[in-house]
Amino acid sequence: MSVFRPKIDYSLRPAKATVRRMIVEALGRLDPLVPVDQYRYVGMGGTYFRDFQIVHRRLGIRSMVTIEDDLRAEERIRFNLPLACIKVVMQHTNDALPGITLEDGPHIIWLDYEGRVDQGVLSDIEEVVGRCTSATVLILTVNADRVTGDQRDLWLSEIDADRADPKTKAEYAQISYKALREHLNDVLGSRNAGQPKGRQMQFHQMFHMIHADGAQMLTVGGSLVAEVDQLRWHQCRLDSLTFTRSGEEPYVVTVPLLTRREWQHLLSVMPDKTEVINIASEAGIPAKEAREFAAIYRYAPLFVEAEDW
Amino acid sequence: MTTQSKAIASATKSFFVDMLVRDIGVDGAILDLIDNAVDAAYTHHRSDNGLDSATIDVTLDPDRFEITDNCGGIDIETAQNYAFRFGRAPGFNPATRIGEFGIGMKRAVFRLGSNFRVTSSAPETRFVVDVDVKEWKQDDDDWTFPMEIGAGQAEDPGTSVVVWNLHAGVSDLFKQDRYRSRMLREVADRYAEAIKSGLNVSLNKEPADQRIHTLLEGKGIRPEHQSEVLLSGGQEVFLRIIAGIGPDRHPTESGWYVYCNGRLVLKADRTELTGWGTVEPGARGVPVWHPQYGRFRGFVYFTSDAPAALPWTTTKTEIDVSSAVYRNALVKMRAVIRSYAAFTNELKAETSEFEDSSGETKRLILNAVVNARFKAASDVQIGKFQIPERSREVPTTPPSPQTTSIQFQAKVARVNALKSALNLRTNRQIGELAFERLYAEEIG
Repeated sequence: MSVFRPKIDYSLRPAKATVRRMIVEALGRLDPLVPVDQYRYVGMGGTYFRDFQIVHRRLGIRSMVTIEDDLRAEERIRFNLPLACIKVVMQHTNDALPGITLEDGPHIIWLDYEGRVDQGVLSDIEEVVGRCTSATVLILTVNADRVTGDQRDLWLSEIDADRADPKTKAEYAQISYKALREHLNDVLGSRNAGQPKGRQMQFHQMFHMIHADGAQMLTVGGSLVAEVDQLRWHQCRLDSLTFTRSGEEPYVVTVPLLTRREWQHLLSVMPDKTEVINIASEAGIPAKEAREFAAIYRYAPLFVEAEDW
Repeated sequence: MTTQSKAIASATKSFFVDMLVRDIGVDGAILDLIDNAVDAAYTHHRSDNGLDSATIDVTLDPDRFEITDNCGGIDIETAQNYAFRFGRAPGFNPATRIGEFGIGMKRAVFRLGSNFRVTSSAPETRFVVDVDVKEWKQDDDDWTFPMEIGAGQAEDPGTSVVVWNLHAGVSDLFKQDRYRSRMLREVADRYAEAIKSGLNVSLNKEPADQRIHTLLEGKGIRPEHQSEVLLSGGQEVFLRIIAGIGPDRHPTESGWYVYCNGRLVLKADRTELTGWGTVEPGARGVPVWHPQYGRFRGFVYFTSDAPAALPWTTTKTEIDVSSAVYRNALVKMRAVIRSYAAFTNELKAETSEFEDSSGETKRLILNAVVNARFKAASDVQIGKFQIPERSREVPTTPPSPQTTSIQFQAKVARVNALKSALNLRTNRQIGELAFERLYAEEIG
């Protein structure tokens, strides 16, 4: 058996870190629907557990499950557990989710895959949407980058998109998005079939994001809300956040490359989005970077080396 | 200038009969007639004893088909106005469970042969309808059947349907022993619920046995049982799903059994119709059925006071996949399949860990399966499908110590003097004794 080695340090992925913070900000808005600390969080912590830490610290969630399918990594995963309240399930998500009780209350489930949309991902969507209770949040992150060669046709056929002919990165993301959403809608439609109106659920999409630290990744997520909870859902005002998206147009997360000094300089005039362009040009920073900064400054991490050499 | 006229659009009887029997096989025709008798049994024999005194005898003979029951008979009013009518008359809503569609009996007898006779004794009346279908088809304007009516008290009211001049294919089938024994098994499966309630059904004098499905239950292991009330066209439909690990790896018994009002519609289905997927076992996604799932048994029951709300087609041997209640059930059935697939994957992983560790790893799942007992599917309590977790023991971690050690130095001569005085052999014994004496003195 080969040795497990941790993947790249996720804490050094600025775009991913930004997405994570945006998601957590949005989740914090769900209080009118369900007191947020009452949720159970299900994620895929890897060895870094960044999402678990932030979800616990910012949202106060105490009941957490991490799904890990690299059996070789078990010891290191357990060693790296940052909190005592995280239960580890060592199985692939397809096998792990059926064993997790979803019927006893609302969950925040972030399935943060490294791979593309495939039958496994679609099966997980079905598992969650088929069984979850109202107010459950399902977030999916998948690789939505270009595919080349034989893999391309295989992949398109696996997600029933044989007739699609994606060329640009944006088109790959769009096809991935459609595969996720259409499957989700199908399952939800079936779940609602035969149910009285009060028990029927609607999917309110919150996230449709694209980010890239390396490969282009797509994040789609939202809340499943029963008829009786609709009013409380609307009180959450998710649409007032700049990065939430309820439709087919994605929000693209771009983190500009800025020095620490430039960062502080631009920050000094925020939240004035006009002024920031002016002072950027004084410092020789292109307007594009200044606009990107204005969009993400509340969320993007600013890295410094923790130790002097 | 135009003149108003009319073009004839009425059906000829020959065309009508051909259309009617088109969708039904010989099995379906026989089951349709049994369905009617079972319905009558539920209406007539409903009592504390269930269906104990209800009897349905079916005879398959190369020259003749016969079904006779003691299930109450058809009264004259019903016979004259409804029972022989094609399609259900509006406003006529008898309490049926499985014979909803108003075509069963006619379609069945037309399918089987060219002559039929229906004799029925209700408590106060009796009648005979005797039809030569070829003759009846001659006159396209007369849509009645001749009926002889008698009076009197029937001892054991019931109905019998006899069909003769069987169609060639039908007669050939009825000659085969194999067909007759297959039909007997079919009847035992299809009416398992009624048979369990006491109904006696026989085919050529051989009784259809009661079929009891069993599932494994034991420590850490239990079958799935969930239920829900759904709506179909404003009518309530009660859905119940029971599934788990069956007695053996049977290639033709494994799969889903779907019942509508107790009548088996799909038997041991292992196709996409019942939620099985398209990927190979062990790959990501919902798996296609595979011999590794040979012990899987799943039972889905749809029950309703309004049989038309149930997800079956008029032949009652197929599921209407567009039905809302069936789509709803399918989401749940697929979740059960995923749980079961996860179980077999875990069992496989346990086996390979056991082999990798040269027998060190505990086989918690296998042991639970081996030690579990069989329980009738109908007795399973509400709850989720469950299997034990695989052993997570990491062999290298020693238990955390509850003891500590104390060391001290002493002159060899003095230690030896104590040893011989107290008859002790080791330094350790002296140390322990010293500690116990001090502890007793200071702490007590």
